Amino acid sequence: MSKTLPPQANELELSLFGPGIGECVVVHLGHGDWMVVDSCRSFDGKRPVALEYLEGIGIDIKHQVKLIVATHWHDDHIRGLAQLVDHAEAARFVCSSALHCKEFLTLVLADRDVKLVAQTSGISEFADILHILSNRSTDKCAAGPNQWATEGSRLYVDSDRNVEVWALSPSSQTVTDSKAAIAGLLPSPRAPIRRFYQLRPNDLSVTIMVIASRTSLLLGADLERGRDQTRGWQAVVNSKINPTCLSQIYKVAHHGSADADLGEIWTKLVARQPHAVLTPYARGAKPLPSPEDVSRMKRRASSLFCTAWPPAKSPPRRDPAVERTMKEMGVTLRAVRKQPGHIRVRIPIAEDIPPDTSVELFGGARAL
Amino acid sequence: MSSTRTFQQTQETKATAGKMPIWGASVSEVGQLFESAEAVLTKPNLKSEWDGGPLVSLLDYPPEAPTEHVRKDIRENYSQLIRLTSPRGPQRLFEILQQWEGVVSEITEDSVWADLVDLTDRTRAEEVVELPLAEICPADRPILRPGSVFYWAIGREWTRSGQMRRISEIRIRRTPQWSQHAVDLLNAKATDLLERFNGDVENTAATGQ
Repeated sequence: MSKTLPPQANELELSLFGPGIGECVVVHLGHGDWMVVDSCRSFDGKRPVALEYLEGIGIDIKHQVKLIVATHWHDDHIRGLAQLVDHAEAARFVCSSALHCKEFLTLVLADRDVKLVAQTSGISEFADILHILSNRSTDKCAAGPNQWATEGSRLYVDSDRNVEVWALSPSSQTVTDSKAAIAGLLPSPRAPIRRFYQLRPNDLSVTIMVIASRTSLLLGADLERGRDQTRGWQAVVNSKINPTCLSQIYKVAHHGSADADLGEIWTKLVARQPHAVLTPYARGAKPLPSPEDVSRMKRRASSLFCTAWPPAKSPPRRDPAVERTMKEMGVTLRAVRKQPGHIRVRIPIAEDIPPDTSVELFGGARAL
Repeated sequence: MSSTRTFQQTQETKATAGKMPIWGASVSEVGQLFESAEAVLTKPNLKSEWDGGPLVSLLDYPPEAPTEHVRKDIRENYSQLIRLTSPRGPQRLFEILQQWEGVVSEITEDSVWADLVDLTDRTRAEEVVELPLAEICPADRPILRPGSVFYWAIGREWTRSGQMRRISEIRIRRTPQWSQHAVDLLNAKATDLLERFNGDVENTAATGQ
């Protein structure tokens, strides 16, 4: 099928984009309504992939994108999101309730003043989003996100067509924890100005369930297992207020890492033998998913797809003197795959038609 | 502080040295900066006044040589004295072949993992590097944290004596400190922003609504 062919009005679509580092989910909620969850940039690094894709299939971004969700503020999930928010004027902007605190806003303001490196940080992208929302708002007392998502909060509803979008996390305990955790990153007098780095474990991510009639999608964001039943995935699977539904498609959490996996996800939230899709993470000592992660997921899913595989490749050839120097230093270098791959899943929404799933792969996306 | 590592010059770098431009000048021009007497000779007005006798610079004598001894030696042995000032130009010339900007992502027992942006060719993809910790200057290691910014350059260095070496230089960026005033200002702005969001932070955090 052509990449530029839009879905039918009664088709649910999940499009997952990801280069070696980055993730963006675009969902057709039916009848021309769209949701974008997180963002990464296109190959040239200039535009968000969601903007490029939706324009390519002829979507009126200004009016048809109804919901934009920032699951958390890590830079691999948020690059280019401000540009999308700027274009999608009718969209409601949703982010984690765990960020609704003075500590996070201090971090946002501080990072905006600190321009240390060429690459933008996730926090500075967040600052740009808040700036756009503030300028757009006519109400001086409601200039922020439209909704702070938490466990069991409904983000979208189309009651005529039986379509709903729910946030399953963060848990209330995580929201309480996050203030102290973020406070640990805050600048203090006489501390050197430094780029703010990522907070671990990532319990404050917004996981999302899309329910469209008999069909459901589970978007795992970067939520990790959690250290007890009140945090992370453990809180989600034990929640008394989240919707109960078994999803046919699972966007695997945190790039398939073991610390974001829990047996109960696959029994309580996901249907038997679901289609699993994920993005890789080529950063750091242990790129994700590892070969063990892939084996584990393949045992649980009927099919497993990754947007960019392998996520990293050999670095470009450089001047022989440079190559020789790096070799003598014992340096290990890998180039992150820059081209975002694309996995597109389409399922009919109608009650009377058995779900017939089509999976298409574009760019560097692969079945694992 | 920086960590600089030099590498033995190879046959390949020797062969190409004469052709490599340094800040717009050829290697032979760079050599002139250091070989002061030759540099003077290339100037036409001085050349025309020179009678062809040997040239000498006061710099050819060790600094500890007694002035009177030097003057006597020059008077007796050389037909004409050209006084030269100290050699001008930089102490060190460094031709950058490759440069990255890095942000430390992870520090293990013996290595540093970082995300790199290629400053030599910004169209290139982001890279991930594992640098042996030994490549970081010991004085810089205590300030190394996830989030630290550094610059890494690989190139060729020319010394004043005309020697060329391959160099890898890693400089950890030292940044200013947060002042009490800046921190107070950030806190005040954050309070104001939170009020604009029409939220009561205490209630929100407690209820998760």
